Amino acid sequence: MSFLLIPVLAVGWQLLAMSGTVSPLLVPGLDAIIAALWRDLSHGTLSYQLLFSLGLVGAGTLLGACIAVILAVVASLGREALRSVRLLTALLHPLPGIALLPLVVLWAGTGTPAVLLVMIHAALWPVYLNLQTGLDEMPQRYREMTRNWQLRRAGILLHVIVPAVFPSFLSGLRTAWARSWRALIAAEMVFGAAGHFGGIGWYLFERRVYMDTPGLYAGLFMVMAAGVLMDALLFGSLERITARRWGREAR
Amino acid sequence: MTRPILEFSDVGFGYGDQDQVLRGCSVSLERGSFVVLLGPSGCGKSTMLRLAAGFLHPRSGSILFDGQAIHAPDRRRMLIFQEQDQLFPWSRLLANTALPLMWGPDHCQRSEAEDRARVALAQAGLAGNLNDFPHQLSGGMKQRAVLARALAVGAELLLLDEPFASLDAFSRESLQETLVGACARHGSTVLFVTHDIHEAVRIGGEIWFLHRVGQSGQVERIPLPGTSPQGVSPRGGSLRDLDTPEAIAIVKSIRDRLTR
Repeated sequence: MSFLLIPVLAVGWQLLAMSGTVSPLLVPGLDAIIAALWRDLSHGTLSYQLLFSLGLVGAGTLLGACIAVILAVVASLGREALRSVRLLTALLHPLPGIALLPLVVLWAGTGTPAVLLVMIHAALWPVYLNLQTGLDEMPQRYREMTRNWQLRRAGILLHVIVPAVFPSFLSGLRTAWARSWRALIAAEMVFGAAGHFGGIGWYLFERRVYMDTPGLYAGLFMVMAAGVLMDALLFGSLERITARRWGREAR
Repeated sequence: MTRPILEFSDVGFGYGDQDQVLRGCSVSLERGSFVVLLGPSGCGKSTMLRLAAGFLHPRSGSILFDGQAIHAPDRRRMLIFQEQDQLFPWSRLLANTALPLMWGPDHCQRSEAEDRARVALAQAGLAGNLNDFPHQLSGGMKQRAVLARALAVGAELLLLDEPFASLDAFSRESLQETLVGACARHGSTVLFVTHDIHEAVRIGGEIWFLHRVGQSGQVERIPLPGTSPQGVSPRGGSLRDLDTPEAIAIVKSIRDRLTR
């Protein structure tokens, strides 16, 4: 029945807009929203801004994931190293990206590097935490077997550790992407246009300034659509493939 | 007389400062023998296997493998457990079996490692499952694959810790036959821990009954019919018939020891 939710909401929305009880500035009709969406997509601005934001999120998530891997390697060097990385994570992970914005402005200005810094912060901790959980949950027997076989380190890393933690890493990446996406929209709205036209956050900010409510809803729709597509199509598919290959129940 | 493959001399071991699991444990295992280790829970059966594998080190005394002191795990002494987590779920059976050959001290090329793995798996009756993932196999098939991998790697001493405990009766019996046959073919030496008296008498060349620490002579050797004095089974890889009067008497005598 869940597939009926969207049409029901759309019909309810349109009836509310047509009833005249609410100002069209607050609830514009679906026709106006679709027209604004078509106008900005065909004009190219919205498409460009959306792709620009997706590119930034990709870069931020990737950089955050690379730093997370380095942190996990550092944490594996010894008990004290693990404690230090855990302490660092406990301190920084709960810090919302938005709270860092004033500092980021001081350090990196308001351009693309600033947005990237916020996204790295958003992506790094979930990836590291999942990676660490994957390492902690790796069966002790794997370590014993590889010792018993006298496996070389490269073999242990490539054929045991990496595949063993891969599902956890993937699930961390999924959370990291979602957090980066939200952080990006917030950062773009605060920092203004990064890059030539700015990203989707800047688009939303501009629509608000010009009181273009249909455009604002069109932008929000694109944010949701991109989120769903990335989450369900990319990460969902990857997780399903991994679950099948690893012999786990697909979620 | 040939040198024993494994020799415990006056071995003492405990996990904490006080608890002692083994004390003054002296026993030796002849090459090619099939010995089953039986005893009450907590008497130190699995500890003995882990000491022999090199995962634990004795607090006192010495353990020799082929005349050399054991310092660390070695692929010639392979420890095998119950079915869980012994095959990597992300690799197909062939890759699972070839991995220790490619990345271990053998340094085999992929093609050579896979050839050896293919032969070992075929001997274990898994020729048709080379491309299966572990989750596509039954518990018994997984244990066959683990055994095949140990033999492919060239393990001389198999240290089996209740390897068939989680299997159903039919798979268990079939695997017992596979194990005894494969070890007779390869001339492997086996130290097999079980709680099942019938299994012990069915497959063993000799039984070592491990008493709790404090009792004199911690390891009591119980010879089984049709076995040479070293515990090397002359049965050519077949299982012992449990319905003979001798087998029934041995089962009863072991049960008496356990309930004593």
